Amino acid sequence: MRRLGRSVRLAPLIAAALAAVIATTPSPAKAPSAPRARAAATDRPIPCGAEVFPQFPEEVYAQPARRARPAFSPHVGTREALWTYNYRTSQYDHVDFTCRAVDKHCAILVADSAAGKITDTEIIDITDRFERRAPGHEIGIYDVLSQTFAQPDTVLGDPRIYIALTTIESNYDGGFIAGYVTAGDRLARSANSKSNERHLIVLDIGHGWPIPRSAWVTFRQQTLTHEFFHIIHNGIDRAEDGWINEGIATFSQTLCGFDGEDGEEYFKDTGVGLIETSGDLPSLADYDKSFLLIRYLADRYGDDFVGDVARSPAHGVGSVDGVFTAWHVSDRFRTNVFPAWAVANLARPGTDPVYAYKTYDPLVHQPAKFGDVGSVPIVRSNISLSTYGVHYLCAGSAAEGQIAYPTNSGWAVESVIQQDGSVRLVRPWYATSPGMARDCSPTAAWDVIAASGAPGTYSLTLNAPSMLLPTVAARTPIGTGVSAYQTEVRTQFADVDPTWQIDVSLVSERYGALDRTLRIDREPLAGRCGVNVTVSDVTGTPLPPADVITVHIGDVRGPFGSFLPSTDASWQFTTDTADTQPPQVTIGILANPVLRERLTALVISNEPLHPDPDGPVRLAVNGTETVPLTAEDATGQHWIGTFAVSAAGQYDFLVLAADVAGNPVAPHTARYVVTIGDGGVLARRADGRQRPMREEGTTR
Amino acid sequence: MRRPMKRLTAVAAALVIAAGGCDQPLSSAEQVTRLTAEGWGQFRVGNYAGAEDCFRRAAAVNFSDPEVQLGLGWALLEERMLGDAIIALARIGPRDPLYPHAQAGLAIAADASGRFDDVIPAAEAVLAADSTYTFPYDSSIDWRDLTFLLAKSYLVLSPRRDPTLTQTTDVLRRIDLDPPLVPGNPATWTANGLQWSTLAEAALKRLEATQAAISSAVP
Repeated sequence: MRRLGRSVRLAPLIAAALAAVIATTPSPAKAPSAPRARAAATDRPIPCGAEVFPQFPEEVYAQPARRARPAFSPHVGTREALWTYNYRTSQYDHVDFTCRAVDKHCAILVADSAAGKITDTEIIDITDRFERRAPGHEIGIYDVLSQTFAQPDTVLGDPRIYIALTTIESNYDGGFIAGYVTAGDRLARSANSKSNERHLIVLDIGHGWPIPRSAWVTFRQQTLTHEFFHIIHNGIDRAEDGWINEGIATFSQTLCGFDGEDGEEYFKDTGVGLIETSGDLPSLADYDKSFLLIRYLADRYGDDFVGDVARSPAHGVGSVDGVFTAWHVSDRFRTNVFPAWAVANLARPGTDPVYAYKTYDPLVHQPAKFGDVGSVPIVRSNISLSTYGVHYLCAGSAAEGQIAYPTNSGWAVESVIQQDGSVRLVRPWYATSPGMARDCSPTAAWDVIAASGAPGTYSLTLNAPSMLLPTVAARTPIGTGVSAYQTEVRTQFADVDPTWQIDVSLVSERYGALDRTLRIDREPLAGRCGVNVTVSDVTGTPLPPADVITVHIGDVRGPFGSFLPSTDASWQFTTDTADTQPPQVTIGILANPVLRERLTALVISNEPLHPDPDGPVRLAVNGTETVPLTAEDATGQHWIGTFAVSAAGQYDFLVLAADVAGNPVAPHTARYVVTIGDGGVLARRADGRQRPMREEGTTR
Repeated sequence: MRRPMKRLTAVAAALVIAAGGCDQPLSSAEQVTRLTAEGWGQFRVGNYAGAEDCFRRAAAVNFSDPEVQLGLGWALLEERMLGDAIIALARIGPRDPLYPHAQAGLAIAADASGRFDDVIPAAEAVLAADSTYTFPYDSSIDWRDLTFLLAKSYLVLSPRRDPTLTQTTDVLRRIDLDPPLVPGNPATWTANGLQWSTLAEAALKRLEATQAAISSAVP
């Protein structure tokens, strides 16, 4: 058996080698490899032995010959020897069978050695279920699956389904293989000397499995359904990956009214990947996982979706994604299906269209202490995870932790809370850097690590949460006599829940609630569970003067659910009295001593100047032109303008500006009148030379 | 188009001089010397356009001659082509004997352009080289003008560069006829016989008074 993620596909090579052997020697075909030992330790039957048989090259199946013997119309009582696979010896046994029943689509053959173990009633039950009435249906298994997937094709001209009941020999202590189908039986004996040249389903007659006989009868019919899907599928996509092959075969059981797999074996080993191609016998966990994935696909996208996957000529994940494409659905298996399925395994059925099955309840099939990783602190290093393996971890208490996993691996890491049977994705593990994430779960959460990408190892640490109470980091203004004109109300909180919305309002003692514009800025997480939040009043107009302003802050929640005490969040300050004093300015005009028409205006104010309603801070020249003034520093009290005058004469300069309260510059200081001589502000030089004033651009 | 035409004019003029002035054609150095002298002559009589023309012709013969660039820069300065003047004057390096004269022009051009940060190093370079500096081609421009520009720039930039006005008052002291302004002594913050509430206001008014005074001083 191979799983997704390995780089070399061995099965086709093995099959090619087998074909070469088959073509050059009349000896029996080489038997498949022995089943893996890990599948043996079970007290439950292996549901299907089909995956052990290697695939033959596709061209070998193109056998137009019509089978000569046995006849296409078997008769009850006819005896013949068939090749059955012995999983104990890894060889084929030649076993005598007698035909016990013939119906419209099937014939029942019973091994002579097992003749006394199958009653006629049981044989009738088999044919009845297969031909006429699957549980809960008005039609038989044959028609249910034929209508859902495809009509079975013919083998060497024979469309009939032969159901052989015998003892399937295996070496499983306490367990057995319930049935199998091999595509090798579709071949002519000239290509496969051990071929039975027909659609042949081999069912175990039942070892000493301690269940009531009636249950056995049902189980046998269920296995028949499973194997009949393989018969159909071998005719349309026999090289399909094992997880889809076995998953849909088991899903077929449910379509026909039987049970699927219960998932218990999977939940004992959720790290298994997806079985890709045949070769070894899958584990019970493999069968469970394959079924659960197909069950989930059917629940989320419908039975028809699974039918299209079965009919798709593509294989594995490509088959699923190909159907998505054909259905014009943007979802993809790796990113949308597998991670969500991993989470759905923690939910009661029907609780969510994405993160739950419709009817299957995984929780009742999970072992005690499923996912329990003990109590914090937990440190796990270099844990391996197969491609499409999943690890479920639950510390049982709130935890703050960190996980390091392969960079660009495509892994999905989710924090999940179970609540009343449903699941809720909580804030994900925050990606703090490539391949590094941090858990800030506010309550006990499951961590679901789904390796929907390359295999790799991860390391995990979980610690008791630090609680991280939100704190007030800074606030302005505070105290009394606060300038109503220059104050910017601002408060900062640290360790706030990143998603928490903070309500802020400013209330005046004199006017009630104030209509202010408040901006809330959140810093990036930067590897922490909580963020820093800054609330700023950006209204741009003054606060009411001579007033008591209360800044009301609503609840501020920390990342683990604790709240900042409201008494810490809100505060008061008192604004100063109204500013009615106009700014006083001093104006100076300084000339360039050589280029004397070039002047510099320097305005010094006793308080910061601001634009007035008509424009920026400026200097009006003779009431006609204006010179923009620029602040030399942030105080707004030192303003400069450079300009030129074109002629001598008296100049009237007027500063146009206001203070923060809107008071215009005091008129008696705003005006400055100066006489500029023909030589500029500077007087004529003693040597009698005079520098004429010139306008720039007029010299050439 | 102006520059190439001037260059052609300068070449033509040089050819005329060479062909008609002497039996022997003038060497390049002689041409530059002659054009430079003519340029300064034009400058002295206030014909700055004529001066620029001479210096451009000289530059066509030897562009890297420092005196040619100095003359060109000053001519352009007087013509209020401040950007071009600054470019020409900045071509003269600090090791050149003409460097103080170039820096004097740069200080004046920078002040007229409102680039007060550039005034300070230029004016300080001139005064460091010669505390009684006089521009040789226009004696009306001397150390008082540069000291005034320096004090003015310090005052304009005082919020950033001289918040205590120490440098402003130090420089102002060199040209101010009134008792010195003492930053720590508000009693000295007077100008024009008035008491000012801030040292900056007092310095501003002292400078206003000084600019008239220095311009009336006899060089």
